[in-house]
Amino acid sequence: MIVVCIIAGILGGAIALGLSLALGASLPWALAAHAAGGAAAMLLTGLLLALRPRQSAADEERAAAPAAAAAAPRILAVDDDPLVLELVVDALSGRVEVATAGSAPEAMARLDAPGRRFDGFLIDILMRETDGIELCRHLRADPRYGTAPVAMLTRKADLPHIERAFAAGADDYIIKPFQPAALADRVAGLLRLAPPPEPRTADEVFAHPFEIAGLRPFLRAEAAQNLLVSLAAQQEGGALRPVERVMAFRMREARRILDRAGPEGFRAAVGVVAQALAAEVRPADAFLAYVGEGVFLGILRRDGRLDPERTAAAVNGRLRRLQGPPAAEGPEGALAVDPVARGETPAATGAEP
Amino acid sequence: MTRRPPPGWQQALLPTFRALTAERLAELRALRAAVRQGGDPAAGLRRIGALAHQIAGTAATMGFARLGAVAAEVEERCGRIPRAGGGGAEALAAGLDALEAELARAAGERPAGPGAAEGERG
Repeated sequence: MIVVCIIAGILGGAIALGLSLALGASLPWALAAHAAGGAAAMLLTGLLLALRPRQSAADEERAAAPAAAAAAPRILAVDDDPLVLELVVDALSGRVEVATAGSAPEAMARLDAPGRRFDGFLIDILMRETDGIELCRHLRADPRYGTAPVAMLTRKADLPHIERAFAAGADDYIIKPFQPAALADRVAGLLRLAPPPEPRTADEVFAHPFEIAGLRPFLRAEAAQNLLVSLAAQQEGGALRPVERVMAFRMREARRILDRAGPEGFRAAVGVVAQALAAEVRPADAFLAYVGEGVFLGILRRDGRLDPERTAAAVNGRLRRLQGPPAAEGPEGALAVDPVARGETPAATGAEP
Repeated sequence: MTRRPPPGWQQALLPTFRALTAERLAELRALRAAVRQGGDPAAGLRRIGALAHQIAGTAATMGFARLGAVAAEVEERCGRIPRAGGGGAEALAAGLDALEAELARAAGERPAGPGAAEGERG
């Protein structure tokens, strides 16, 4: 699949869109690939398509049902340029209720004002007083908005700002100037992040990413996807090409752990592996994300260093110490990760030993 | 070539854009005058960079691609000069002249339709 995506990337954005859809990507994923254009974006999208489990009909039904019944989502747009706020209101009119704030302190005050809670945030970065990344951190520390979708909407297109924003908890990064229709598409994608559909069956739990809450340097799977798209659009991304920044780790015998421990046990096992990964990967080196099927993604930061083989060995050593002597029974005895070689499809295929 | 009319949202926001552009032009002229009269050049540069940042963020969306490009260049130069130890002042001055000229055009001109989105407006 990845080879097909490389070819598609070379052929360009329009073909990428069609091919991504044909490969089973949902429309937002395919649009993201299309918007990002170039071959590098397509490479990354190909990897992510391989990583990402397909959405079942039941998922789509569950996601659609509350949307149909609920009122229009409400977002808070924060920017010190009144024209940007007007453009945002206009671009989203009829689909999203937009409240506005001209500064981070004003936005913080709006959080405590009476009225319906916000379903998402669009935040400029460079503002007087407090900048937008600080506001994003403030939101993440607020129990009401710790998992609310947040997108930065900014002129700052450089890698350090992009990385700081995602490290602070941003889910997406939109660069000005923007076209109103494109902004509306991105916001629609952003708002689909909340609330996530709750997986029901063991297969769904296995296939879906789930959030590794409060553990640096973990990002949500969707945020990791958006970060990759932002990296792919970078003109000056440093010495590494975007695709060279990506690595993956696969939980050994993930399916077997699910079968033996059940959905809750599997989630707990993923959590333990995530903690071991987080302990071995410094936030200054890389972002991490759990993308489902026992697969973890690593995205190297601009000045970061991370060797997949050494990291996997260190994680496995930590897991062995955590687990003590090998247990004869029980899924916890099998916890370990393997680095996924570049070019290999990282998603579990059922062909595990 | 016949110009297409600007989309509805652009027409609706044009008065706000023009008013803001006129304000920013006046502020830019005042900042330059203050620096010429002995004001703090570093503070002036920071504020001009912030102004250029805001202009670059919306001008192209409103159909003024050239203004957006000139503002982006000024923003970039304002950020670079302190790091480079004061070099590039002439290029910055030329950029500021161009920015003033584009702001003046945008404040007084009606942008063309979406077909002109890549530079011929303003």
